[in-house]
Amino acid sequence: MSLTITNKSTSSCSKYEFSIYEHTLTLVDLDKYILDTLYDEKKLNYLFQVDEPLKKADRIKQLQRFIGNPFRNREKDVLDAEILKNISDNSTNQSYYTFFAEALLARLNIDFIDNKLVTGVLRIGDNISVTGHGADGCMYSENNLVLGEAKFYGNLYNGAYKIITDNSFISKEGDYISRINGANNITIKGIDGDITTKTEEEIKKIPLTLSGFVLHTHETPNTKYDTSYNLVNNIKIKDFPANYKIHLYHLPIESKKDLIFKAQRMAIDLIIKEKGL
Amino acid sequence: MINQNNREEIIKLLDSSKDDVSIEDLFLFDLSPYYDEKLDESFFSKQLEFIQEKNRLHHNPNISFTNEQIWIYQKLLENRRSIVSAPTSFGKTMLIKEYIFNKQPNKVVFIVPTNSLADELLDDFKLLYSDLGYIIFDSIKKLDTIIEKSIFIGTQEKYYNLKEFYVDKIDLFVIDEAYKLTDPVKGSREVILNRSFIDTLENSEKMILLMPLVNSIVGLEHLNFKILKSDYAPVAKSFNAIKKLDLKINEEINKNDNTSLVYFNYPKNLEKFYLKNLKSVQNPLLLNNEWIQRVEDDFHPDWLPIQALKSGIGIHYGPMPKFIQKKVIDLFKSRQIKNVLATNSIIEGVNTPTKNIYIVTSKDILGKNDLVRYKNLIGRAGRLGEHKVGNIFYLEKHQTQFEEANVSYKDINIKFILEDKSELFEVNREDNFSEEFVNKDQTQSVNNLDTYFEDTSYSEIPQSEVIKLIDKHGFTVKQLKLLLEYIRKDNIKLLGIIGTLVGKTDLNSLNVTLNSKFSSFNDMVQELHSKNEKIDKSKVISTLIDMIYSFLPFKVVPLLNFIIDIDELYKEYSSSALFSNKVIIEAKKKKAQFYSKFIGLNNPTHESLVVVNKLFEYGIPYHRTKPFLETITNSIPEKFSIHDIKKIVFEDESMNELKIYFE
Repeated sequence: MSLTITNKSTSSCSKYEFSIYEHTLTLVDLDKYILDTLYDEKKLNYLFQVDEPLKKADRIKQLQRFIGNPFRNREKDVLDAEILKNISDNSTNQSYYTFFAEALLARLNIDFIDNKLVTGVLRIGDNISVTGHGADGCMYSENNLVLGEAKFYGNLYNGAYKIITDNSFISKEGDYISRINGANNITIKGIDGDITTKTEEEIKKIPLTLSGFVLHTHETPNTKYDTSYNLVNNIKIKDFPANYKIHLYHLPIESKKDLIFKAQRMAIDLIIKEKGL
Repeated sequence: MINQNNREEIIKLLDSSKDDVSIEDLFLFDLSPYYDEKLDESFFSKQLEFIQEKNRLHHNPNISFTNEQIWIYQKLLENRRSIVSAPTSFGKTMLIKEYIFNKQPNKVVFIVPTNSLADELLDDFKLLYSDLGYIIFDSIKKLDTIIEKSIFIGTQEKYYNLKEFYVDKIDLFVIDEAYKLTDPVKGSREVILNRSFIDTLENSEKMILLMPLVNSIVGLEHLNFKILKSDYAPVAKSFNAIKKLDLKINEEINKNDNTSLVYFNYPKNLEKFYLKNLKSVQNPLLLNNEWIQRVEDDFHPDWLPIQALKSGIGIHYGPMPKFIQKKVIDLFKSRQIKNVLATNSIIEGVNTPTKNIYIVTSKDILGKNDLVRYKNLIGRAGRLGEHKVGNIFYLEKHQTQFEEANVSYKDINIKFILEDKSELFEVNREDNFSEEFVNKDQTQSVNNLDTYFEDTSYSEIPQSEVIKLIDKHGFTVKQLKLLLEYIRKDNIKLLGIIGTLVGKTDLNSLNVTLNSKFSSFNDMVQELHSKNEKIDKSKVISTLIDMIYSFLPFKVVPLLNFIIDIDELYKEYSSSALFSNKVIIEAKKKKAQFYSKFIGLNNPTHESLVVVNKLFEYGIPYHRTKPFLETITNSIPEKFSIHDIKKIVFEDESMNELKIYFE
């Protein structure tokens, strides 16, 4: 079971390099792929503390980030019904989808763009405040800078194209491009605490990738999915330099709630195993 | 740039408008203490949450180390000798607490500059470490070796008295505010601190010196100290020049909204300011009348700190019984009073929730003379967890002085006096100089006692014996030389010796204080006031308190002991006495008068003397403790602090009368 690049297209204006990641998995297998990839011991540890060796206590703390507060440190007593009830009672499930999608985006960027990428924050110029951040904003390595946007949409319509037309995606790259010009003091700080400073010239030499990630819920009935799935030919982004790359991941899922349930159940089971309960 | 100035900008922004700061800004500037205020449901927040949880302190899981603290903590683990140089709000004490909790060194000595700070830490450490089997103490009942799992917390003077009982190596030796080792030797405090440091160097497995942030530290190169510096401070400062500072202070104290500390150089400036500007203030105070009544009975109703406290304003300065200082700090911490007028007594280490500091008198604190103390003072403004930004207000006309003082730490360089060859001689024992910290060239160039004794008739006395005596009583060779020169004159009097060695002395107060005819505090006040009714009565009361609780026990009595002992030594090695019989009789008489009147024991056992000294040091008048002294002495553990006395008092109903001093 794997996620592979099955198609790599260029838009009709022949200007941009796109990498479209599609899959050949069943929806059930895709859920499993997502969770196996995310909770892999080494991979998860890398997201939280890069090169620090993993201790048992760290593994538990990392997995606990994926379960609801009421379940922490009483994992053995948590029944499926309780998780399901928590999901159906919880009006803030949206926030779970958000961070979950961001974590997955970070993972996929590392797996498919550059395995040295680290999540971090980016500060341009002398403004005090930060510009881009986190998996949803900034990942970097010596060879790559990735600005990303993760989304968990409610339906399948428009496929990967949907992220391209999403204002938050467009404004993120627009903001970056407008601010980077003339800025001579760019600071990047990774989650591992490492700080890198670059000049405008130096940062422009690092290949920039815009990374869009979409988890779509499979709705019923399935409307226009097949025809709207791959619309990259239509992509036009104003003032987007030709040398920048765009990576788009598109992962349809059967049901958001099911995925959240599986994500929490699996994290709880792994914690129980780690604790030897 | 990720620097402290920009970090402070973020803190100020967070303080004024939370929405303008993101969790990412806090991450970029290492402001993890504020993460909780901005964590959201992003994965980035989850990543930071993990780091926070991983960095949680074992001794206090509500707090996590910052990156800078982690870095320094690791270095502390690796190095046998370290100096931690960081700003006031860095959390230096936190590093030590965590080290003790994690590593559980068997014998710990933690030297602090003031009794007030010692008291605060004793409280804190007792809660933290008693369950780990530690005995927390600052006094011992019997003169016995210290071998058990224990933490001593106290001033250098207290440690110096116990030093010889640490026969095995001390596992962790810490000096807080260790920049004081760089102070010029003016009196016994500096001498004893330096001797404590030097004498313990070889008798400690691990030594850590804590001090404010400075640029360079010179003088310890031979001792292999690892210097660990950080400019990290999670609290910002805002500086404000004010044209009419007294009006501003009056306005703020009347408003009684924010916690403010008003700083003065000396108690007399403080009292003058209060009488001129604040006497009419009436802020609410929830303090039981019984406590006020007791202080008025024990001391005097006209004493200004009590009058001020009744108006909801705290006064904290040196010449004040410790239990009253403690009450003022407790009331300030719990915000029952929001304003405290204070002198240097509050600068060193006492942790207060201060939002604003007003620097009223600038002499000695602003300007180039004492930058470290200035930094320490302004470091009191702001408090992690309570006030993100601390405000410092000063007089507009002090702007130039202020700018001179408000330099970057990069312009502050300190030099340990061990580097100074002549001072080195003063603070160390001639006969057991450690070659480790003085190379041979330096040793050869150091003056020795012969230089001082040349052409005198005292050369027959062995130097090592003289050194032992000046060590024991906390004097310096320079002071000994002064004494020897003074007594060459004719018609020597004891008061003249006191004046020569401890400085200007108020003879009227000294005589009245030691005169048994004036038995109560009020009698002494009346007598002194009747001699000069123009002086404010409160000033007379303050002078007397200073005389009883500071000047006599810490300056005069040690000198009397020194005179008596050195005279004995002289007699032993030469045919005549050093001082006239009259001087020695007078010295013994004054010592006996002091002990009889204020300590209340004529022939005390060592144990009861230790206990009564402790109660006296805390400020409880002898006549209050006398009925319970035997019970307390019998019940107190072998190693104890004032907190153990408090426990005994609270567990024994017959001692209800004493409870009020500890409440």
